[in-house]
Amino acid sequence: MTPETVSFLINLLAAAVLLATPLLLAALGELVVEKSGVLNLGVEGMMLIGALFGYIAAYNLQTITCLEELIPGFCQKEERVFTTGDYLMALCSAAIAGALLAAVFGFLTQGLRANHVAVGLGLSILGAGLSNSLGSNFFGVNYTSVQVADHPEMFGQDLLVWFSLIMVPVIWYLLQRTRTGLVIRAVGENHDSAFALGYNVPRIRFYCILFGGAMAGLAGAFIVLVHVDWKEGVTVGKGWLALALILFGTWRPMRVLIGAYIFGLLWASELRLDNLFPNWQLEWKTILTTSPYIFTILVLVLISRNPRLIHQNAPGSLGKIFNPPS
Amino acid sequence: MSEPTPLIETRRVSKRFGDVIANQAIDLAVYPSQIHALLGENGAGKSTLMKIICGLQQPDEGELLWQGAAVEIRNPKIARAMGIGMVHQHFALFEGLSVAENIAFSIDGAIQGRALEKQILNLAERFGLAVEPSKLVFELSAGERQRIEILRALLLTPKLLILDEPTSVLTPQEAEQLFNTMRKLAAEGHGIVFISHKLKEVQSVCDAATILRAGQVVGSCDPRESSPESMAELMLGSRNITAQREQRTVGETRFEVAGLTLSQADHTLQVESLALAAGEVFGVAGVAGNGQELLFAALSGEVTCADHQCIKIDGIAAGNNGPNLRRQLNAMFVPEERLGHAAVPFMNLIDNTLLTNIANVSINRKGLVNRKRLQELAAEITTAFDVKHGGLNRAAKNLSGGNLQKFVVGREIIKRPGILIINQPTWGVDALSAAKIRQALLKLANSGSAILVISQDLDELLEISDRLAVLHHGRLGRARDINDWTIEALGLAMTGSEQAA
Repeated sequence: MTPETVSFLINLLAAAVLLATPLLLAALGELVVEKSGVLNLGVEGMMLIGALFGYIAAYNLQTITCLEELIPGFCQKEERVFTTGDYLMALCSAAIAGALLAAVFGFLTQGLRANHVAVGLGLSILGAGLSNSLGSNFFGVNYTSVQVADHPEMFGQDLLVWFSLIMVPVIWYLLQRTRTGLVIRAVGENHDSAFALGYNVPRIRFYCILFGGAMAGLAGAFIVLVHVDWKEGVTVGKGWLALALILFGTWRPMRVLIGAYIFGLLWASELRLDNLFPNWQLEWKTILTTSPYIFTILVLVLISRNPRLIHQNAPGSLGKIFNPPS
Repeated sequence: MSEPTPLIETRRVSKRFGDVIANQAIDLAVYPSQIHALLGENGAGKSTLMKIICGLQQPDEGELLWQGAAVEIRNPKIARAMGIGMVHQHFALFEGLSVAENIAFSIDGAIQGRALEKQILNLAERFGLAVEPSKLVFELSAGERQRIEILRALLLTPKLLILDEPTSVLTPQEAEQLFNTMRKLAAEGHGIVFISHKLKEVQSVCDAATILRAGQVVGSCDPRESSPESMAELMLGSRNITAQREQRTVGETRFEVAGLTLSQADHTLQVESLALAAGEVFGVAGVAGNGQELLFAALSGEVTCADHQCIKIDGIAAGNNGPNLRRQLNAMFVPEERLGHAAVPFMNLIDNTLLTNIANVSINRKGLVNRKRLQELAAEITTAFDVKHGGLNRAAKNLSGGNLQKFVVGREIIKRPGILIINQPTWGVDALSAAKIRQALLKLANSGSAILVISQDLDELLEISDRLAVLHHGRLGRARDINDWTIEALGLAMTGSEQAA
């Protein structure tokens, strides 16, 4: 291999990891939510809200750093300092914003026992609308974009990339090996039985929903702080893909990770199609571009044909409204 | 030996649900090492009483004593902590979790690994309950699932174990294993409450019995020394079996079933022969869950049989025909579940009228619905059967149970069917509506139709049937003239102790 090819491949993989990370974060959060028997279709909305508030926080922190100099004129764009602490603050804001929106979902579905699908869809629409109007209010038309020049990195990757990777075994261990996880799975599997055994089903689910919202918020923040600047609808449907990814991974963290990285790789190569296959016709490129979606449909069809696989992994009470016996 | 303290004692415990009295001033005492049977028909109040004891429901009146001290059992966790274990009739298991995980759920400490598996296997061996800890629950049979429920209860080392109709899902061999386990448990000092309809089982395993009827204690006995007849009579009460009725003239056979066997999921159905004659009401008695739904489905055509000849309507073979083809032969059907089976809850009465009139040519003309005629028909039904409704355009779910039942029954009767198959015609219906429905059925029979009524309500069947057969474990027993049945014979047949006749 020529040095160009090697560097191209490294580039491609790095891009794949970056593209996969928000998908992985959102999907891991939603996985815990779904394992508890809740179907929250509002991932996209929570990601957008997380993205907006993460970005606003970063923007403000940047300005504060600037004001601390107190001497006018020193506050020039290039000299703005954005520390690791600021970065973490921005991420926290995003997580809290995502969790707050998720709390609305939790209140409606767990407190008022509303339909999960209806509220989830509403949440996605609300998140998109709210982030658009708040975003244009806050930033106006012309704003200087946030320059997170110095990403806090470890071993050459963004902190959040490592965080998302660590969360894979953590969530697996939590769900499969701890009592908390067993309770979450039991509540998702059969909420009536779990209730009969004395567990507070709505409360357990509410906590899971909050966790899912926080993870979606982080995913959104990663997009605006690492990929691109804030703009309307910046998540471009990644929240919906995260939902498909959970089915794709049959509710297993490790398979969700693999799925996310396959998606990442496909996107990364999609962006580099002209380099990869300069001689390809447009039709072939179109097919490759749509391949993640076709792939997902195929896998979903295959999975749903296997009752054992579904039974073993799919939460039995997923999306069902829990009515405690009177 | 001095009088031991009961493990659990209920003193004048009462519980009401709306107007229905589920339990009224019930006194019950269960002692250590005792296997105590709780007998009663469906709706006698056994399950409610057990739910009160294990904390799922609170009594309206009365008190509970645990080992002699008054207690308030506010939720199942408290009951478990006190030492009350319950094995529910419908298993409260988690299908997607493994056996070990299901069991771990009920105990503190480790939930994984060898130690737990070893503990499970030890306990399983001690009580003769074979399980495989690593298997997923959805792969298991009913008997295996029940063993897990029992193990789960046992791991908490309960002093009192409640088994709610544990044998209803078991094969005879599995039931025998369960009885051995129960005897071992009792020998170790556990108190056991055993709920069952099957008197033979009660006699073979229990050493005390309390009999409930209509929410009240009607007697207690030592089942080993009492005859099944006397217990059956206590359960069913002394009812007047020879009701006064006008003799109907019974005509030719209109509906015939021969050699019908079906199995679906874990239910089987076996009807060797059944013939309904014009002008008769044929009753099918039986405790709930003995295959009533499958029998109705087979007769109505919701489940068709392999042999086209196994069902004949007015001499025409209809075994492979679905409900609408059978309706075209002038056989009509009213299923048990009003909301969702007989009627669509969110559709109005007019549209619900259409549902069983698809084959009616005056309404369905080459696929076009004559709305005007349909509305008239709906109005006719509601007038003729005194259905109180807030307008024909209102959804079926807005009607009270009695009115909706009158509607779904009337919808079929108004068509003057030659054959009417009806499942639980008055279940959950107020007394006045129930009486009207029964009247309508008798009137239809008098006009020459053949009627089959499946019901859990014995009084109802004794009132309206000309002939009666008992459905037990999916098998329809021999039909006898209503005057040839005795209450003992009925009780024995319903509890599965009928002598092979």
